[in-house]
Amino acid sequence: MTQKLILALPKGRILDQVMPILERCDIQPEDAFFNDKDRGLRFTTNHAHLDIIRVRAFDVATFVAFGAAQLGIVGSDVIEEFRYEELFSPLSLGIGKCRLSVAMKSNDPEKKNPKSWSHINIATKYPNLTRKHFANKGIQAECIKLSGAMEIAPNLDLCRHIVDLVESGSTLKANGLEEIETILDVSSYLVVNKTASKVMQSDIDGWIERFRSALR
Amino acid sequence: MTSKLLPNGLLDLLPDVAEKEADNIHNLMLYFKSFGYSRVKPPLIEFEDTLLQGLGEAIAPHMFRVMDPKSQKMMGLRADITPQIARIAATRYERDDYPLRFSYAGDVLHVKGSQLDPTRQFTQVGCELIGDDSIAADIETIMLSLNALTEIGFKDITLDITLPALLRSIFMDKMDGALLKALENKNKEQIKALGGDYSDLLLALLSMSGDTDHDIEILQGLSVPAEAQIELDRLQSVVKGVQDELKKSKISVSLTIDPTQHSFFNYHRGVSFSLYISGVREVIGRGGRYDFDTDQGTASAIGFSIYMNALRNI
Repeated sequence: MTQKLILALPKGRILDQVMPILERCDIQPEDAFFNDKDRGLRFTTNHAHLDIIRVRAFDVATFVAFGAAQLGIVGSDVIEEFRYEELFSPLSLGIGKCRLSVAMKSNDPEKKNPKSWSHINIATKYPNLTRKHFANKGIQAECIKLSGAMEIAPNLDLCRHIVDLVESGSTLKANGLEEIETILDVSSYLVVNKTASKVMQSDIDGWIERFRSALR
Repeated sequence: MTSKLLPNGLLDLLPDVAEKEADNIHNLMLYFKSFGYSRVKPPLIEFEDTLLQGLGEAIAPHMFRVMDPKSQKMMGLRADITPQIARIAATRYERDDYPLRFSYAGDVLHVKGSQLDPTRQFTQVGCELIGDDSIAADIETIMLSLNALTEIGFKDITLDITLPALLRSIFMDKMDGALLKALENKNKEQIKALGGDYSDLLLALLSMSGDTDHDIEILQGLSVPAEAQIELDRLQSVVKGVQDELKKSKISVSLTIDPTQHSFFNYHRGVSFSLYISGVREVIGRGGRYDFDTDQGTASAIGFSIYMNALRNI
C-alpha cells in the first residue's frame, strides 16, 4: 500500500517561482488551488498519492519537521532559523534568492561604528539567527520579535537595528534604512522529513529525483 | 489551579495507556528472558562521576544533577540505562563470565525536551549482549529487537542500519564542516562541489535505495582506506545475515542502509540501527555496538533500547 504524501508549499513571494518547477515535475494541483477565493488549505493533485498544503513560509519547516508533511519547499532562512534535526534539504531549487541582512537608519550616527555596539535591540522575525550572528561577534542582541513591517521600527524608535530579508533593497530605501551587513544568502530548498525518508524511502527518493530532473 | 500543574515535559499516564504499556513491557521482558537475557535493575540515581565515566560521557548534557546530602557529592539521575549496564558488566562480573546477556526496563530523565517533543521522562526497554564482538552477535541483537516488536503486535517495521564510525575512519577527522553538512542534507550537488577526491565515494554511499541486493552490490564495489574497509565488510556481512534471517522468519521488515549517518549516541562504534514503524513519526528504538573499559581491558558489546513513549499513541 502506498501511503499518501503531503507537499507543503509556502504562501506568497516564492509560490509564483515554485509553480513552473511543479509543472516540470508534472505536478498539477486541482483547480481550487489557483482560486484565491477558495478557503481550503489542502489540495489534491493529478497524483493520487500526493496532496499539497499551502501554509506560511515559516510553517513549512515546522509541518515537515513534525512529519505532518513529508516534503516541503522553503527558504534557507527558515531552515537555518529553526535548524530542525528531523528535516534535511537535499536539493537547492535556485529560486527565492535574497539575503538576510542587518539594516539601520541611513542617518543613524552609530551606523558607521559597528565595533562600538555591545548590547543592541533588534526587531526581527529571525531571533535565533540574529542572536547567533551577533553572539559570534561578542555582541548581546536583544531580539524584539515582530511578524512583519520591520522597516518601520527604527523610525519609530522601537530599536536601532532590524534583521530582515532583502531582495532589491527598495523597501529599506523607502523607509530611510540602509543595509549594514549580510547574515545569510538565502535561496529555496526542497526539504524532507527524516523519518518519512526511511519509512517511505522509494517514494520519497522518487520525488526528490523528479524535482532534480525538473531543474536540469 | 497552578499548584496542580506538572512541570514541562512530564505527564501522568492514565489507566488505558499505563496498563497497555505495562503489558507491553511485561511481554517484552518475558520474550527477552526466553532468549537467555537476564533482567538487571540499576538504581535511578548514582554519583555523577560514575554515571559519566566511559559511555556516560555522551549523555552529560542531558543529565539532571542533585547534591547527595549524605556524601555531599553530586549525583546524577540517569539519562540512559546502557552505560549503567556496561558498569555492571565491568564491575560485578569477570571477563571469564562473558558473554553476558542482560535485559532491563526502566525510566530515564533528560533535563530538556527536544525541539519537537517536550517530553523529559522516557521509558526504555532493552537488551545488551556483552563481551561478544562477533557478526553473529550483531545479527542476533538486531533480530531480537525486530522479533520482540513483532511479538507485542507491531507491524510494518523499518530497520535502518548505519555505520557511525565509517566517515570517521575514511576522513580521520579531516572532514570539512561544509561537506559534512552537505552530507547530512544528502545534497548531491553540494557534495559534488565540495567532495573533491571523495565525491564519487560519498555519492555512492548516498545512493542506497532500500533494495538490499542492489545496495550490497554498490557497497561491494567501493574502495576505501583499510580501516574503513573493515567497517564496510562488517556492515555487508551483518546486512546479509539479517536479510537471510528475515527471509526465514515470517515478519515483514523494510531494510534500509544509511552508511553516511554519523552521530546519535556518541558511544556507538560499529554497526548501529534505528527502528521505525509505519504511522509513528519518531524513532521507536535504537541500538548498536560500543566499547567500554573493564579492569581487564576494553570489552565490546551490542544492545538496543525500545522507546516505550513512542509506542503509546498507536
